[in-house]
Amino acid sequence: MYDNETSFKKLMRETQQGDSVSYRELMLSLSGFLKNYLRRRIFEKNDIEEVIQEVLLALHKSKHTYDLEKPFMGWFMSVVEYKITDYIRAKQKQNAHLGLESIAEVFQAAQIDSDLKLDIETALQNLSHKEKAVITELKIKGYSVSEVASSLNLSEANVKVIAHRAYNQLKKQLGELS
Amino acid sequence: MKTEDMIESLSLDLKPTNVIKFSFFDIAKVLLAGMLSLIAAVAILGFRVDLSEQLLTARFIVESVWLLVLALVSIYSALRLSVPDLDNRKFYKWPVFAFSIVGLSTAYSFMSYSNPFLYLGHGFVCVYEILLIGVFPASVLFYFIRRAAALKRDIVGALVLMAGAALGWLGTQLTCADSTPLHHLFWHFLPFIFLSLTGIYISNKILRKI
Repeated sequence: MYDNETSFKKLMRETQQGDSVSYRELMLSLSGFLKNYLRRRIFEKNDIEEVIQEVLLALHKSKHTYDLEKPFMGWFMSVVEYKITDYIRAKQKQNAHLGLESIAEVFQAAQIDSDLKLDIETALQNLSHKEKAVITELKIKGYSVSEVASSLNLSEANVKVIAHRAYNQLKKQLGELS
Repeated sequence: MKTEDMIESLSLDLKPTNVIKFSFFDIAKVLLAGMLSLIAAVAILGFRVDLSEQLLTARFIVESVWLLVLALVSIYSALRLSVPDLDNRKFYKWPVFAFSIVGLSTAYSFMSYSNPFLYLGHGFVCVYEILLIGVFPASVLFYFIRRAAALKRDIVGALVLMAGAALGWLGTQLTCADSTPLHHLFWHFLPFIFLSLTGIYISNKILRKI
C-alpha cells in the first residue's frame, strides 16, 4: 500500500474535473515519486528524466481511463511498468545498433590508427596506478569527475590534479614515442 | 525540455474529462453487431439443410456454446485490458482457457470420427462467412477500445479479432452442412486462428499508443 494513495486519488478526481492546480500538484508529486522509484530500475541516470516525462505524458493521455473506485497506484504503476518496458526495449535496440556500429568503427580505427593505439597503451603502462585509474574512468569509461572521485575515494580537486598530471605525462611520452 | 516546463504546458490545455467505464451494455452492443452480421450471412447463404437434426446432437450444442463463451470472454477481456490496471493479468487467462476448450473439441472430433482425413471439401464460403460475420462486431469493439488506452495493444487486438472470428465460426455452425473433422480444421479452425493473429498486426495501426 502506498502512503500517498488517498491524496493522489483526490488530486486525480480534481484533475478529471479540469482543475489545473490539482493537476500540476499531482504531476509534480508523481515526478518526485518516480525519481526515487526509477533510480532503482534505471541505471543510466541521464535517462531517468526522459522516462519520467514519458510516464507523465502517458498519464496525461490516459487520465480518462482511471476509475475513481479503484486504487490509483494500481492504475498508475501499470502505466509506469509499461513505459519502463518500452524504455528497456528501445535501449536494447539502440545498443544492438550501436554495438554493430562501434565494432565497425573499432575495426576501421584499428586499421588506421593501430600504431597510435599501441603508443597510447605503452604510454598508459608507464603511468602510476592511480593516474591510470583516473584516466581510464574519466576518458575511456566516460564517467564524470564527481563519479570518479566517489568510486576511487578521492576528492574532486584531487581527481582533477591527478588527471592534469597524467595528461602532461601522456603528452610527453607520446611525443617521445612518435 | 525540463519536466517542470512540460507539466506547465500540459496543464494549460487541461479540460474536464469524461471517464470511460465499460459495462455489460458494451458487451451486449458488440454481440448485437455480431447477431446482425449473422442474420445477414444466413439471409445470403441460408440455413444448413440438416440444422434441425444437428440441433439435437451434443457435439453441435457443446461447440456452439463454447464458441459463444469464447466470444464473450474475448470481448470482456479486450475491454478490461484496454484500461491500465496492475490486476489485469487474470484477463489473459480466461480467453486462453476458452480457446483451449475449442481446440480440444476440434481435436476430439478427429478421434471420434472413423476416417477423419478422408474428405476435405471446398470451404472458401466458410472462410468468407467467418470474415463477413466477424468483421462488423470486431469493428464495433475496436471503436470502443480506441477511446480507452490499451497498454498491450497486440494482445487486445488479437482478442478483438478472436471475438469476431468466434462469432463468425458460430455463424458457420448454422450454415455449413459439412461436419467432417478435416473440413472443420481446415476451413473453420485455421481461418479462426489466422484472423485472431491478424489482430496482433492491425492493432498497432488501429489502437493509439499512449
